[in-house]
Amino acid sequence: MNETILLARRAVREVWRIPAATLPALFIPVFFLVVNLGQVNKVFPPSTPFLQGQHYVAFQIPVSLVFAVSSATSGLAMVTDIDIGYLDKLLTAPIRRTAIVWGRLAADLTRGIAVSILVLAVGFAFGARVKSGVVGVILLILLSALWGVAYAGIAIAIALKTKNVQTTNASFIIFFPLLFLTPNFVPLELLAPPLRIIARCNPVTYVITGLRDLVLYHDIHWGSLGACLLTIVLTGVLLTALSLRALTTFAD
Amino acid sequence: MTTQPASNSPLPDVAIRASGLVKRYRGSRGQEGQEAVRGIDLEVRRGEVFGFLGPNGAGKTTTVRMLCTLLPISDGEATVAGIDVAADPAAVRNKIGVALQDVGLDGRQSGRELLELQCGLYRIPDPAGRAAELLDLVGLAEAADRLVSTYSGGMKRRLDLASALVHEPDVLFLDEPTTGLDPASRLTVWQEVRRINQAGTTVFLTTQYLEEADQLCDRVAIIDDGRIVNQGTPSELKSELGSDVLTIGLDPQEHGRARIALENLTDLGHITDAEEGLAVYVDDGAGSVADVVRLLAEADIRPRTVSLARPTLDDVFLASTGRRIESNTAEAAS
Repeated sequence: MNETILLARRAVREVWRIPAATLPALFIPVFFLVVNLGQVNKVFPPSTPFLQGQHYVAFQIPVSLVFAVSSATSGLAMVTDIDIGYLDKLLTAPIRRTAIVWGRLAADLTRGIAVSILVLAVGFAFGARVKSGVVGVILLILLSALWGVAYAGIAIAIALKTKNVQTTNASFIIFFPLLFLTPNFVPLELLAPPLRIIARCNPVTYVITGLRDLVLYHDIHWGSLGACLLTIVLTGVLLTALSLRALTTFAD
Repeated sequence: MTTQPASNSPLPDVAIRASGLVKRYRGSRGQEGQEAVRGIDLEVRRGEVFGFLGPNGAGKTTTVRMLCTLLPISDGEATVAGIDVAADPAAVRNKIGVALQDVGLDGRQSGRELLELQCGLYRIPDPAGRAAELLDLVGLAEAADRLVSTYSGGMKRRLDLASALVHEPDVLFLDEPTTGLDPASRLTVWQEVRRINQAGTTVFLTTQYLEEADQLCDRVAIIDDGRIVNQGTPSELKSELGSDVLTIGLDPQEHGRARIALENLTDLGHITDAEEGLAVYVDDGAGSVADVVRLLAEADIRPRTVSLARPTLDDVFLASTGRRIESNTAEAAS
């Protein structure tokens, strides 16, 4: 069996056996969702133009999805492998070293799918609907999970470079400004001009907007969907390349 | 990448050869780099158990990590199973099994899952069958489906050994395989190492335990401060010192005078400083005790203790480096 699949299977088993590593990543976005709804639900009733007749929760769901999947879990698992010496064992095996990173990313995809389904379920419970239907729901889950995979590269790279839990966890903190310097509460047009400029330069804006259009509109907006996918692919290529490079130079 | 069980290919007579091996770590922020290994030359013959004996920080692990392709070599050359480590590390990985000091086991998997994964990574045709065979071999069949995190230290070490053997490697590297184990588990690991070696695998073993080197190794290299200071079979190394060693407890200020007084000893091999006195190597220890006491008395020196023993590898280490390995190990551990 392919070594990437073998290592992915091991990593997925880990996700299943250690829910404590995944659940906090789920708790924080759901907590933010509930608090945000409590604070501004009445400020933005369904009649608000940018909500397209939906409750505000529908506008917030994509933010929660992106928040939930952008975790440092894979990086932390990599630090654990370094600490216990398991990475050394893998590095002395006759396998492609890239398989070590691909295996971790495959686990991120699985975790991302599971977490996205749960966040969507919470959103549905609060009254959100995905207007683009079943196709939209599937796209929301897949794109969110793929974003999680793309972003995981940074935590893996930090883990391999620093071999330190605290620093690796910081990759999750880096995501806070990336998440909040976006049209996360209101559409881009309603942001103050300086923030709007920053948000336009922020790749997470395009991921949230692409996902949000799937929730708010019946028709698929190919422009925002394409921008979302392109952002995920570019981020994934960049950060995965960074993590692969960190692995290649790990022993130096 | 394709992998075949390594044991099918013929090995040269020399399993490991290192020549002028150096590991230099880069200095940070303008500081000078540090040399952990300073020009090691060694030759390990096919089928032998070769011991690398030295205290913590001597350069044992760094040497093993270079030979296992885990660390780049700064200078010098090394071949393992006839393959140049720097030129073709991937081919070396096919030929070696590795069990490092940190037991490289994922506690979140069961013993069986871990071995089956390891078999898969080495493309063993029947991973489940091979894993079961190895679990049986190391006496872990009953615990096979428990998570590794529930295993004792000895069980983990045996599983680690099994995981290094899935592909029947030509050369097995064991980095301090019994550090931290209780005496019973240590004996079990020793038996396992002997069994592996008898099956034809060359074993390169690092240790800070004298008894381990003495019991297990066909030949031993003593390493200190990144350099090999002596090597040979344990009996050769010990016999170089003479038949017996008299350890004389003295006040530190009397070392110099006592050394001069004892140079008149007829049976003298040589004298080195010991931790609390002098170590005097002689051919006939029992016959020399009276002479030692008399010569010291004539110099007005009263020894606190005089003890007689056969030379150990610790004496070899003392004679080679001026320090005892056991005190180094204890200092490092404290």
